[in-house]
Amino acid sequence: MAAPIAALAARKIAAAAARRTAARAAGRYGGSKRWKWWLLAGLAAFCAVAVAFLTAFGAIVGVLGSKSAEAACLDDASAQQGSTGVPGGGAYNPIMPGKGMYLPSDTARAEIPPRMMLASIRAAARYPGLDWTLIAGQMYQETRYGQDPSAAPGGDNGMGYKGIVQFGDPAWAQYGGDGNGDGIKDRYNVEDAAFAAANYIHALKAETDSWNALRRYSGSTVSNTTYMRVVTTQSARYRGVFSSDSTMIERWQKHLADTIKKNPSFPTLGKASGIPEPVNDFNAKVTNAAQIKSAPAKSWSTPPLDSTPGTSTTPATQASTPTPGSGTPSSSGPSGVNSAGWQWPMKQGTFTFTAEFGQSGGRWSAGHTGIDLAAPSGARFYAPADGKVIFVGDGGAYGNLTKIEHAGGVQTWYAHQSTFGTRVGMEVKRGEHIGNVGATGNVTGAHLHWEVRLPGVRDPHKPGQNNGPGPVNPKDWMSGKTTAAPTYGNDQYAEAQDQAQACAADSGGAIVIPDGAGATGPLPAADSEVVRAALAWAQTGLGKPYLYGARRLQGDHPADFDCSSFTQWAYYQATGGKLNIGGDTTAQLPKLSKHKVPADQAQAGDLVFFGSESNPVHVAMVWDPATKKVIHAANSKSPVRFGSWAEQKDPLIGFYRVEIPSGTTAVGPNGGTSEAH
Amino acid sequence: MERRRAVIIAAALIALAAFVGLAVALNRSSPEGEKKDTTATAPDTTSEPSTPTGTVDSVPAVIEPQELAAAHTVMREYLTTLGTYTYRTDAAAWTAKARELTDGSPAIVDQTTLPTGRAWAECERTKCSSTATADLKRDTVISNAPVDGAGRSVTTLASTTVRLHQEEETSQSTDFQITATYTKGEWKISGLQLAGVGDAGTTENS
Repeated sequence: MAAPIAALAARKIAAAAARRTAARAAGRYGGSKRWKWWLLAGLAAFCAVAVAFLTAFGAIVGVLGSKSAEAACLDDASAQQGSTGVPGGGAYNPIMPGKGMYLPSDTARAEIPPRMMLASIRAAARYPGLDWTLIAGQMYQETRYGQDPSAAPGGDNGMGYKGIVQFGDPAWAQYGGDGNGDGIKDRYNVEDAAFAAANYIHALKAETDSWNALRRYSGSTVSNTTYMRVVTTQSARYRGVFSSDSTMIERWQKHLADTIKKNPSFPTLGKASGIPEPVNDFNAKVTNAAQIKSAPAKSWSTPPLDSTPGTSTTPATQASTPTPGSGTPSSSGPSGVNSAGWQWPMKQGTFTFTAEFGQSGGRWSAGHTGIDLAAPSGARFYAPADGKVIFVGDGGAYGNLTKIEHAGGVQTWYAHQSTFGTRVGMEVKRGEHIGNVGATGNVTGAHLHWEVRLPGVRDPHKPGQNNGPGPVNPKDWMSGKTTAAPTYGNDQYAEAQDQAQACAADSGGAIVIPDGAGATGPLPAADSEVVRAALAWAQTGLGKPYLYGARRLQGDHPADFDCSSFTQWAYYQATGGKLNIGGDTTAQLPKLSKHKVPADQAQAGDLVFFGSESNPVHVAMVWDPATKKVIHAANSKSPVRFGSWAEQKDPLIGFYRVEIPSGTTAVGPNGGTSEAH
Repeated sequence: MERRRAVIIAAALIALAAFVGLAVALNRSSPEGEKKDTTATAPDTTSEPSTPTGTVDSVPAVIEPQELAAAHTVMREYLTTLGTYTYRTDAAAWTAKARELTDGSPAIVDQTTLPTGRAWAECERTKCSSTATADLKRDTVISNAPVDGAGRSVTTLASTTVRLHQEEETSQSTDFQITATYTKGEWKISGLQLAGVGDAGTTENS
């Protein structure tokens, strides 16, 4: 209202001045004072006009400022500000990557009484997708693995809650289990209680929303997060690598059973037993789980599954590092294996060399026994030559380790894996998928530590002089042996992974690599490096939760997406921030409208819109036009996943190619760059 | 002479007024001014909107500031209600009041509860009391979506701090993405998603 009032005042003053002018003309004012009235009238009129102008100007600035701020809620710059830096739902609600289980971490082996660990594993195994580490975490939070007096037979916490996981009568009547198969449901029995806990959290849908399942199990309010924080923090600490290898899982169960037999009475329920309690209400935060050190192994702790080479129960983070042999490595190798027919274990362009053979530094006490190929966690690697798998398991500082023996006794070792793709005794062909890059063991980040070991070369891990096989420089070894026609992806594992993904989708979620880095796999062909990078970024988004109106452009580690923020993000990331196609479908469609392509010419990386041109309601990225496969943040019922454009309910508007500005450098998820062609 | 002197004085005053006017205009468009304006969409329900919102370039505002303020008020009330109770709280009355703030969808109703089961038994045993404060940090989405008639909604990053006195007093903060949707003439809470846990389990002494 300020501007109109000022304008009115100005008009009144001007009118008064006019009247005075008229009066002056009529001779009603004295000539000697006339100049002062002129001055005052002029000044007043000016000031009134100036005030009116400035007020109006200020109002315009204010409105613009207000509008700018409003718009800024969705624009790139401010979207990057104010981020909590805390992962969203994915970190709190990890979804199991299909059938199988997380193998116990070193922390789990050291801190969980083997009886409780085996009971948790068996109980969870009855529900595909249910993570046993949640049940173990509950045993910890409820009674510190039965040390609370209320866990002892006949015990009670004073409010009617009993046993190792504190069941009250109503819940026990509904979910009580018979885990030990004795025909009796006994909440003071560890196995029965574990089965009951699994029954209950399964009913609460812990497979896809563990946080809320635990909240409802505990009766906590949404803002009292103690129970959920402690359980999920412990759960994260207990998770080792994920394995769908039934043989491996059976071996672990037998190993735990054997460990229990050595100390069958441990622990005595209801009594303090010295079970470590490193997590409490003060430090429980799932994002800090990796920083909470493992307790030293106890006499009752579970030893490593294999006696060699990971015989130590020392937590991986404190394990010693491999060192190269003191002898002079030779890459000539045994006779008969120098012919061509080898290939690099990863596709060129999918990794970066980050540490060379023999390199010294703080990470190695004497030198590096292999070379490091840095790649995103979950990236696949492949057999470099035909051979036979001789070891799959815990390699101590090597983390998850696979060893393959090739012709002439040559061995290749693959360390720090996130997942295994083979089993001991399996014959592998060159190019066959054998595992996935990870960050297990003594590492500072995800990479494949690759060793080539030759007979006759001293093994630095063995005392004194020996005949190896010992490490040689893989680059030297590969020199002259590399085939001109490498093959990647000739694997049987892909099918299993696809099954796992389908299974996860059936459970309401998509496959998620254990570290939350998203899934990896072969990318579809794309002419443009930038488009290929966009597809790669999109792939890393698999499993991220859907949030309508998710914050735009969340950087390298997004927490959530909606459909348009997902496509916007993929291309923004792939171009290093050079290309922003817009933050919603109504912005993206007009921007891409010049590049509409017929359906039969759609390519991987094109965007497909649904709805109507005046009201586009959904967008997805084409993955494989031949099968109508798209990758998208579909809806609130599922995270980012693959799907089919044919399954969308809204009408298909069309396919649109994203024009890449000339000279744009492609930026992939692993940081690699290349110029767009 | 007098006329000449009057012209000079008038010119000087006009110059002075112009200088003052320019200074005021520059001040209003300074970074500090922009920062102040930014709060027009920040969750501050205590201040009245100071400028007409109307249109810019004929594009209507997504949601008027007055409406945003109303949405923020509901969010703050809901979050504080969720974490405020004592062992003597009438569960039925509390629940009715809290759920009245929601749109009644199953997911949000599921989260709008007092402690239950063992947690409530523990509260009664210890004569617990819990108080919550809510800090609305920033709007993350302001939308008026034409999709499925979703209409106007606001999603805001909010932090709640709960002080729970239960044998000992602890506090913990939790970040949420809270969504309010304009439904049947009112702003109602329609979504609450965990966005992260902050300082957790700290005591008064820590």
